[in-house]
Amino acid sequence: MIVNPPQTLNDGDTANFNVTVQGGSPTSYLWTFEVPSGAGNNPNVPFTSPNSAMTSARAHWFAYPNQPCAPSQNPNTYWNSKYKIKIKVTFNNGRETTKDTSLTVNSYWDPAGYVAPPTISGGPAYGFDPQRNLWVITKQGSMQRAASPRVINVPSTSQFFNKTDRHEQKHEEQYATGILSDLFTVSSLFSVLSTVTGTSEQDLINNVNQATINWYNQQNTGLQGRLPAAEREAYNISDPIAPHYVYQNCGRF
Amino acid sequence: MIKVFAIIVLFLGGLASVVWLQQTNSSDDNLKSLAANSDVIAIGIVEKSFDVVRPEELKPKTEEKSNTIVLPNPQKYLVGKIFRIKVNEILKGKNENETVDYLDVFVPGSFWKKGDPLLIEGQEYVFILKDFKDENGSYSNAAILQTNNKQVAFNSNSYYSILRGEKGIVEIKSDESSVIQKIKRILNKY
Repeated sequence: MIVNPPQTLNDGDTANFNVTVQGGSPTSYLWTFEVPSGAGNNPNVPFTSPNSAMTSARAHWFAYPNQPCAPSQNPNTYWNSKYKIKIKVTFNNGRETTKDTSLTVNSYWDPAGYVAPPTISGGPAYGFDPQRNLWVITKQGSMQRAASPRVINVPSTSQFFNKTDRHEQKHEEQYATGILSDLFTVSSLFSVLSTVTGTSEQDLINNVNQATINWYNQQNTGLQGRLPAAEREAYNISDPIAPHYVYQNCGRF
Repeated sequence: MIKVFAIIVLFLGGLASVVWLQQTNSSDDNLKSLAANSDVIAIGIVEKSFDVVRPEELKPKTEEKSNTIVLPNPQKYLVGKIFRIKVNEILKGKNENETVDYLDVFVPGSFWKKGDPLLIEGQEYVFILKDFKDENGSYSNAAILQTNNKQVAFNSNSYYSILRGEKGIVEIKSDESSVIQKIKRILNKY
């Protein structure tokens, strides 16, 4: 009797199992699983056809040890929960044979999701000021605040998708209307660029380029100082969403 | 050695420190693992940072039709940052006799993501470092943007990286000298 080899999948992926019987006439199959005693987060391998030679199941991560945050010691063991998969085959002569394999379910995405800070697309209009004999910025032109959409690396089939998605959605809100909304704005950048001048067209363009880079640096420095508060606020939204494991604040922020 | 150290801590730090020393917790094991895999462990203050950029994304551009200047996009030009660390103490070094005043640490990425080390200028940290290796050649054409706006080639072999992202730094707050003691105690085992 040959059963498929051990497999490692991400939470939410589909695991396939099969057993091949050599000799004898099977009359029934039974797929079951075992987990360590005390495992949390409702361990389950929901076999689609538990009484067939071939079956599948959605990979479901369980918590072992049963705690919300990965332990410092051997965190990989926590992120990779390991099911013992058993197939019992009964033959027409009444004989029973059991074989084992395993399913390891990984729950760690690094990062689970993110929202990049907004950027300013387009650029300001410019021209020559004959009174000052300088090239100057004349108006905002096509400058626009370009918000970055959230990126979720956790697949939608994973049990951790909803909490990750809600967490990153909060970050989007923070940049749009919340505690980070005053950063990376057109008005802030334009207030800097409107004073930039150049002795030639190329000189102005170079100076605007440099002023923009410096401005992004200042904005990023301001952002760094506020990130812990922004993360706390987002975790306050996502931590209460089940499952209460892995992607919790865990006192980091 | 551990006994001698415990006595010193008792003398300097009082009874609370001794109680702490008697405890073993899992974060010690994590620090042990990080320390064992590191090249350098240093205590220092983030003094300043420099952008590491793709020069081709910083070439000034204009749109002639509308007479506008196209602004550079940090998600395209910025590939990482170098943080200059003013070293206060080396806890583990490559050369025991060498005096190190500064260390330069490269943190890849155009913006901070969860899991990245969050470094704030003026803040003191313990840094657990490894030699940076540009294994895929991703930074072969990158340049460092200096404060005088000049660009110099980014030589990836000259920098350290922080081991395991945010896990490779420990922020030192004024009331947390015990963190340094903990790391020293762990290093004494190596």
